Amino acid sequence: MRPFEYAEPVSVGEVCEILGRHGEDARVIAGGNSLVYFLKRRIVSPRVLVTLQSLPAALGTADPMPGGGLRLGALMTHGAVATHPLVRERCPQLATTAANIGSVRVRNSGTIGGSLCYAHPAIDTAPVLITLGAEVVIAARGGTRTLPVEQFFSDAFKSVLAPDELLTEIRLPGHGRPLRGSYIKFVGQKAKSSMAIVGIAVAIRGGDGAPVEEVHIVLGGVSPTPLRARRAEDLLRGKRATPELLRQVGAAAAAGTAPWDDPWASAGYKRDMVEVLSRQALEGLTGLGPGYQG
Amino acid sequence: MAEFSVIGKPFPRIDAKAKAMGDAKYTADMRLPGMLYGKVLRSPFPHARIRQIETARAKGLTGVRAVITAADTPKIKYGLVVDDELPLCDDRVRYVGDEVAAVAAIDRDTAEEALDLIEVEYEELPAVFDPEEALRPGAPVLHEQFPNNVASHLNFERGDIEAGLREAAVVLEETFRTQCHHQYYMENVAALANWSEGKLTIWCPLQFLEIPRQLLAKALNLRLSDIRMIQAYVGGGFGGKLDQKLPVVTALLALKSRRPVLCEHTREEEMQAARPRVPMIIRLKMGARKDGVITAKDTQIIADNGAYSNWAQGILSTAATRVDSAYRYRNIRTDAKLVYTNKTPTGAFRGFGNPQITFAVGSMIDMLARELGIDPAEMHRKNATQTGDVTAHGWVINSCGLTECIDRALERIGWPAKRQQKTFGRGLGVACAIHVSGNRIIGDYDGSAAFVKLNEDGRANVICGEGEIGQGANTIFAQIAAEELGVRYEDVDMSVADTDVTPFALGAWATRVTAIGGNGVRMAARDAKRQLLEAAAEKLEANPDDLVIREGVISVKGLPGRSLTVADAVKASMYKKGGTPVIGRGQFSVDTTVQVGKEKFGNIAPAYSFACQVAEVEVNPETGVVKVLRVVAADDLGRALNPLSAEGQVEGGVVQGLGYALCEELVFEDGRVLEPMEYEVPTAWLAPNVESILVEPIDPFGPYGAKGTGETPLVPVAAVIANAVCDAVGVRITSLPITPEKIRKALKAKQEAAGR
Amino acid sequence: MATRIPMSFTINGDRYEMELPPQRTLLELLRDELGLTGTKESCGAGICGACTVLVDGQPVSSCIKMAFQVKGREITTIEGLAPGGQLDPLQEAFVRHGAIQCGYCTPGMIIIAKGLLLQNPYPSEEEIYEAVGSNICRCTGYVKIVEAVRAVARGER
Repeated sequence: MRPFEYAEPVSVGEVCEILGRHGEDARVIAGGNSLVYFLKRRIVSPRVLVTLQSLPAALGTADPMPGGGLRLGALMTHGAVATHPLVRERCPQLATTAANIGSVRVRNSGTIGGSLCYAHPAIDTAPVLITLGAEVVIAARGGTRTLPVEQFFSDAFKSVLAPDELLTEIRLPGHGRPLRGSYIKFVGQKAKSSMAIVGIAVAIRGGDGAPVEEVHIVLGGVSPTPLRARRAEDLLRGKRATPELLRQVGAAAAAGTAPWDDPWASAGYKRDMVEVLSRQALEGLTGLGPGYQG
Repeated sequence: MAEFSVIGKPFPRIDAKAKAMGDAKYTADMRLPGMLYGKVLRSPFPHARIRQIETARAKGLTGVRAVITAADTPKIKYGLVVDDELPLCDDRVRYVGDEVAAVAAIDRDTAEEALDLIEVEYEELPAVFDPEEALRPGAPVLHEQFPNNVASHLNFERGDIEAGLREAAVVLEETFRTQCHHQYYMENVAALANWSEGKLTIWCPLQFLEIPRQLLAKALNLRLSDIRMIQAYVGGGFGGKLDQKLPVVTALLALKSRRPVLCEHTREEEMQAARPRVPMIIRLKMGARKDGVITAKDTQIIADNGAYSNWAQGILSTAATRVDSAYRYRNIRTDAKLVYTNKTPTGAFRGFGNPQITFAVGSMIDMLARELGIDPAEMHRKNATQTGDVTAHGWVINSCGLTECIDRALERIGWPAKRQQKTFGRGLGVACAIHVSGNRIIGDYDGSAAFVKLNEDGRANVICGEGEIGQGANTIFAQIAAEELGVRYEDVDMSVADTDVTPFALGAWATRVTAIGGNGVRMAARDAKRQLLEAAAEKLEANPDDLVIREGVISVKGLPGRSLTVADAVKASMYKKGGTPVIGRGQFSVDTTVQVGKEKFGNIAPAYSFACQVAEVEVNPETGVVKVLRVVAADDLGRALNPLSAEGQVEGGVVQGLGYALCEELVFEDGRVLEPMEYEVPTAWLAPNVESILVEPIDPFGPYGAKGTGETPLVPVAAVIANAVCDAVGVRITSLPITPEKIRKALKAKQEAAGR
Repeated sequence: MATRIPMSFTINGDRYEMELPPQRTLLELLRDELGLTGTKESCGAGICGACTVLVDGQPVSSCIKMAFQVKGREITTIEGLAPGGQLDPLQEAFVRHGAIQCGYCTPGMIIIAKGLLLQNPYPSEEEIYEAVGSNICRCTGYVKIVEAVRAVARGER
């Protein structure tokens, strides 16, 4: 590891000030799950390392918002998200998703905000958050801004954060009638704790014997950033689900992807799995099938 | 088993407590005063000429104590079978990861910084990555002494292959491909070297010490006895720690810096530059009669050696011959080539070349059975080797429990009933294996030696260099010594392997340690016991033949009152005029044959192990994901000296085999390992509840009838799984690993073909 | 630029006050500074679990944790499980059930199981697999490791 200057600010303002001062030379460390490895292997060698461990406790808690919504501090660990009663009650698919990220060790260290900022193309939480219409709160020296999670990613491993900005909070809107959703983390024959080969987040309103009023399908691992399957959503919205329609929706979801070959899965197989698994997920939510069976 | 008091009992491992407490010191846990940290600079190119190396800037960095290149070495090539390797590359690099230079510095960060400061000017050369391409005329040549890139070529025929094919009712041909498979021992290779008082001492986790010491002495141009190698705790080897470059480089750094130096591989270096399993392309043509009797086996093997050989010739020979003694073949023809490519050198991994060929043959037997409409298990039984057979290659089978393995495995899983309740998506597979207990390939020696020293407190030290690599050798040796001496298991201590102290030992490979090493220990213990009883007899005024030892007490048969403790007998032997300490010596030699030349004929091992495994799997046809529900593994290991330990070997071997079958692969692109940190090793989630059945025919050679079982359980797994997958969803996957993608693709192709 | 920063830790019940360069990982602190080499490094990337330690009772990968990240926290390593040589029930069970072969994953496996049992003394089968399945063992095939953890969870002492 190359030497760096250590900073341990105690307020968000102070973080942004340090980041603003050092620009690209500074890096923020939250859980450190990805960053410490990069530091050790000299893949990343910042001049200043800014630890968030002494920021106010609110950055690590979940709190209710008016109208059934929820705010999650960006420093909540995946383990905390998975087990928090409010998350489990108001957003069970996010709790389940967090419970299946990495290993126990990863969940005890990794934070929801850190993982969003790392912006891995196969990130698990982001597709779920996008289906739920979640927003991120971003602090900078001049104040804060709010952005839909969908607009947070700019490329693989890149977010829209400016050098002096810090992700502080994730906000989940309340819903009149909650969206019913699920997330499939597909790892194939890989270990349960691996990154997803493809991830499929689906959320719908209606659809249980009635037409589907609202549908969100967001895919992970098949494009540089989480991918909204808009054509597939359009096919289903306002319609009553049938096996044939869901097959078409699955095919449409797959058609819109741009995956790449990995040593463990080709682009073609990933597309195939998006087609199969998005259909299965929707079958599960509309009562047309058992859903994904692991 | 009333005849034994220690043998056959499930004692906990002798070193388990130290390991459970974190007390066991592995190489990288050791520190010496003034110790430096070493790092290796590796080639970024698969094939290149080294134009120039500039080390001045690295040497000038504060904290750097040594920077070495080939110029600092005698440039003597070495190797186990052929001399094709240098400690550091001289004018050429042959794979991504080849060792070019090394540094030793006061800490790791400085050593890494220094690596960045070494400037190497390369001229890239055309490279070849595919062994079939490497065989073509005009392909880039890796080593001038092998102008066709062929490092080894075997060609032999037994019986009459054409007649065998004519006799067959069905003949099938298929090409099987096996992948590059990494040992993934949890402890990365490390070495600690110290040059002091004219002697080079190296602590390392190699699986054996004497042969690496010979190679090291040659490569560094030192006298053999100027080098002392000591085995530290070994964090897993599985064959991968038979051959490693790192101890050589560490020794060079210690010689240059005159300071102790510790080097450790990172996991990335392990994946790119260690010695993974030899991948093979196997073209197999086999014929069988209507009743399932195999009439012909015609095999062509092209093995991907990577850039340097070391053990690979032996591995090729294993792939070419070993599986042929599992069955009563009469007509065999084999052509096998080991081919250099500009990739990571390959090496030994549990099973040597046996899992590769057993995947092919085990799949082929299943295919033949399906074609003939007979039960594949019946086909294995019908052709199985039996006790007393002399096989096609002249192997003498003194004990064989293969048929019993088949019967008991089938019975446990409920084979006939399960096969009748067949549903799509669920399947059963069966395959068998043979393995050796020893392999006469190092010079013309196979044997073992040990000392047993008795202390004045009645406890024993077994001094033996075979080595503990996590397989349980020391536990078995302690049990053998305790049994022979008549002391408690708890009263035996084991030495570490140390070339200055322990007798010459071939070490942990070829599943030879229990059967061969065990006999050496047994003889040493018997010798010590003889000395002990002589001393006791004098004291008890009895004939030594009338004495017995139980739990550390020597008594006269039939006269329990006349007794003496072992401790007192040791003292009695020593504290008298002309007295001597009790030191037993065991020297043991094995009557086997070196297979010479291309013919590969002769009995290479004193005993052979067998196995039959049956698995039940569930295949999700929509994703291709395989869930292994159950594996029943019946292993003929002769007498199980410690059933708890033997079960552990079986369970571990099966799960490693599942990795080989289903998910593990080092994927190369232009000689570079892709995503090395994503290499997929099985976790507990993949592992089913392996049920092991120990089949124990008493072998006439091994101690108490024991044979080895270290490698055997891995050997048949890939074939078992391939057969079970085929049974479940009707597609035959002929390349490893059997990924969900391959299954899905085959299923889609099948559907399309049916739809046309 | 501060080359060393003050840090305090409680490690296996002992209090340490020290000044360390900020680029020390928790694993380096344990192994290199304190000589607690029971905690192992294998993948170095937080995947395999050989380096697992408990931080305030929770299993984490010490190889990808900076030492400064655990300032003021309570750390338990394998050496802390058997103070005075009295084995923890998990250590006893690993020995007795044959769950140890080469031993390199063992400290991490025992620690991750300890973390599970501290939080949940009566884990389900699924929860045992979640813990054991987080770490890699290359020798045992996991059968006997799961058995050992299950035995302790069911009250075997």
